Amino acid sequence: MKRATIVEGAILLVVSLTGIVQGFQLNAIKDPQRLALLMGPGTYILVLSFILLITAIVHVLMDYRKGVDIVSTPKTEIHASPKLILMIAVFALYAFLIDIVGYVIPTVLFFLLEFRLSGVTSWKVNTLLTACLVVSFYYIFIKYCEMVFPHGVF
Amino acid sequence: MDFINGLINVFTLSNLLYCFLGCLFGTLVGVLPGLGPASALAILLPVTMYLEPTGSIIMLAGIYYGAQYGGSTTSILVNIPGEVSSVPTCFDGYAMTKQGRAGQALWIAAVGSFVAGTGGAIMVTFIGPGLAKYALQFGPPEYFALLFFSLTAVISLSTGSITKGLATGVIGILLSTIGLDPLTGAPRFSFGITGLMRGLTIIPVTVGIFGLGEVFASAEEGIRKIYEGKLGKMTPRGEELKKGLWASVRGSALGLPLGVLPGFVPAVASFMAYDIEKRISKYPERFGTGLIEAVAAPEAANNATAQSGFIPLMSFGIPTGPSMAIILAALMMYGLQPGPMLFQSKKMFVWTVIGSMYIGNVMLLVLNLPLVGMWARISKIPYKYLGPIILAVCLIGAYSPRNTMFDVWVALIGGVVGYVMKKADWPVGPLILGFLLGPLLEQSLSQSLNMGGPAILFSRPISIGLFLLTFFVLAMSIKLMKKVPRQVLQNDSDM
Repeated sequence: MKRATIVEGAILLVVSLTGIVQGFQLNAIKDPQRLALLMGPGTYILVLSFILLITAIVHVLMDYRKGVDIVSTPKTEIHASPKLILMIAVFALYAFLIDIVGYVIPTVLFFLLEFRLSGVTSWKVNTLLTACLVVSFYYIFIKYCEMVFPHGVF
Repeated sequence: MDFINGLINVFTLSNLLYCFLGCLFGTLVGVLPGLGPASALAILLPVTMYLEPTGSIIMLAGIYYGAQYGGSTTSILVNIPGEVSSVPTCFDGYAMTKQGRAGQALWIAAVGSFVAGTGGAIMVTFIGPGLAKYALQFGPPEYFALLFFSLTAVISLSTGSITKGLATGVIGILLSTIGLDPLTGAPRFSFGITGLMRGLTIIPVTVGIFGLGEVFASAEEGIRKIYEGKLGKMTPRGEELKKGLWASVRGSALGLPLGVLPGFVPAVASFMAYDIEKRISKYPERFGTGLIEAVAAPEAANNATAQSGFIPLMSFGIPTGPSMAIILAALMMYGLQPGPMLFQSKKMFVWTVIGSMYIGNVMLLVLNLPLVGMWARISKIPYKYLGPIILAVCLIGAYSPRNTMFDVWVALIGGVVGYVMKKADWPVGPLILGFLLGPLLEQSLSQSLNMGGPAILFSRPISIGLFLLTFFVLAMSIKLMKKVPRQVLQNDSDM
């Protein structure tokens, strides 16, 4: 069996078991309003979670029946490049900073860092692009579309 | 008469502008490898929220069918399909370019697309309203059966593994249950988090999985090459012209009915059209060496499928693929429920959108033929410039519908999940389809059960017919999918 299939099966199992637990919890609540309903919120989730559980088992079994040896199978793990991980981290930082200092300053930082990470090596080009984009975004989304962003805590 | 009024209404300055912008963005999306129509629709959907409904839907529709046109340009000129549906176009289109016949290949691809797109618009005009009248006979059991039928799309979006498609489809439905139960108000999967109690909405989820996921995956790609040669003679003549046009008609005839069925997204139709052309050809061994009919048929088929997907969407509110699901989400955001009532109560809206499809196809023909050189150059723009801009638009897109940063975090998590799914060959299409159809499925099932228990689902002729049709289409999908290469199906789930 492939290593990836074991991981996939485990993820599906966790999701389906979470659903089953949630379904039983919802069905355990005795609410007179729900007694009249043939299908409560718990039942729907339970049915879906059981379908997912069966699918997970079938998925793993089908791979197991193929008889692929875990040792001889080439590794199929996903390796995101460090550059990509940094890009995602910068995006997360951007979202975090907007809440604290508002929209404009984090947007400037975001573009400068993301362009640099993407491969725009010249700081002159990077700064010019950032300036143009921040001004365009400000006028399009904040002035024209009248979007309200957090103003920050300062 | 309604259609004429709608068509006249397209000729207002604003509607023409939205139609043009949709076609322009669509062509751009089609030309740029790595950005599919579903991603583009997901990214631009929140931006179009600030437009009035007619303009917004005209623009989104233009993006969708425009992307099918644009995808052929880079396939023919540089052997890089802008869209997966343009993969078969590469086979003979690029061979024609190498022979100095790029102009002819581009001409027939654009004209074939125009024939199919206009055919699709005619089909929507005449079949859509008639079909919508049947929807008046639909109660909750029939709607449940119809939604169940539309979920068969999961099979053809399954990238070769049905269990993967089914699992992601079910996870999509489970994700849609997060939040308060619509009937009892009980919190589901909220774990005490306020944001989760409010539930997840379609925009952050699609922006994350399609938009951010696509950018993360594409960020690792290098700079693409550009075509520097001459296009040669544009219009094919004599026998070549005849062959190309007939192949366009055949491709359209194949794509139009397939587009109505759930899951038959354009790439599958274009591959099947290529296969059929090869089978009926007197010289199948010459396929891949630059035959005009091998360019015309798949291009026509993918455009026909894209266009006719509007029939089930407009008549029943059933999306045939992820792109259509996003357009459905846009309709719902404006409080418009597709179906017979839409044709009655929002006549001008429906007929203006349908009318815009005719105008849009003409615009696309103009955009794609004289400006072909420009599109070829645009396809060179490296991701280092595009990526950060798309990321910033994604953040705004996820934030804007509810003005909450919680949705931005949902989009970011969705982006990472989308990237991992792409890398691990898991289809993202069924997840979005399940997420969008989940609440409708739950509502119709709950109402049906309260009407007469489980037996009611199998006691009405329409619902029985739809269940039988579901099994027939399932069997047919599995059979047909075996004929399409796995690689095409994998990428196809993004359409």
